[in-house]
Amino acid sequence: MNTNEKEAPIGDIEALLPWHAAGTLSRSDARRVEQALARDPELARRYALVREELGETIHLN
Amino acid sequence: MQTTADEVLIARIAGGDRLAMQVLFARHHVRVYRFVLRLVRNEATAEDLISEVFLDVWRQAGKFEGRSAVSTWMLSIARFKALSALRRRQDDELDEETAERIEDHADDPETALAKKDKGALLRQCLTALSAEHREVIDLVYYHEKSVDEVAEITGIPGATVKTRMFYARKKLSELLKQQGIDRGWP
Repeated sequence: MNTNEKEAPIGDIEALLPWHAAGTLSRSDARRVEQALARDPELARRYALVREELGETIHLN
Repeated sequence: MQTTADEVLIARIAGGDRLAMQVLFARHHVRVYRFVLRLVRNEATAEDLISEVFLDVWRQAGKFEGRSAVSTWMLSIARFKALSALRRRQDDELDEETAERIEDHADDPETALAKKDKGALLRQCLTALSAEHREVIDLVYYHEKSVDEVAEITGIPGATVKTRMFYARKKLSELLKQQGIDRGWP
């Protein structure tokens, strides 16, 4: 395991963004993320980065 | 057109149905191949391993209990085989190949062109990630696996899956920054 993986916990919602973009979250988690995105512009900006990564990963494969 | 569920195919394969095996292979072999290729970084080895994976599927279909998706089960088998193959490979051979794949930061014409296209640059940085980081990114984004499914495939706890994904993305941002693109995160 990478030593970084033992570091401080990441924001719960932020950690879920990649799975939200991929559409693999449970309905309740997806709702939590949607609510957070609606009230937090910075989180929404970071979500745009996630979607960008997702698109390019699919493109690469 | 109605497609047969993977679980149904597995049940048929367990009964010796070769056609069901062909359908399952056609449906999944490209994704499984790409997943293995990311790990072993050698096309010939990946092709050999894919044959082994589907041979295992043929032999073990009767043991499949449906506790996870068929694709998750197959990726677990593929990962185990890829890691076993990597362990067998001589360390010096691995180091040599890895070194060859580390991108050259010099601005050759191809790199210069890539810099004009953020998407191309992002893809270039994805290929520069460690095998561990690339694996989690592929599983989440390309294979569309949930936290629990990635945990099952990789054999690490769900919390570690989330952390690993976070650090893979963080590393991606660092690589992009080195190439002149500051995403303002993390």
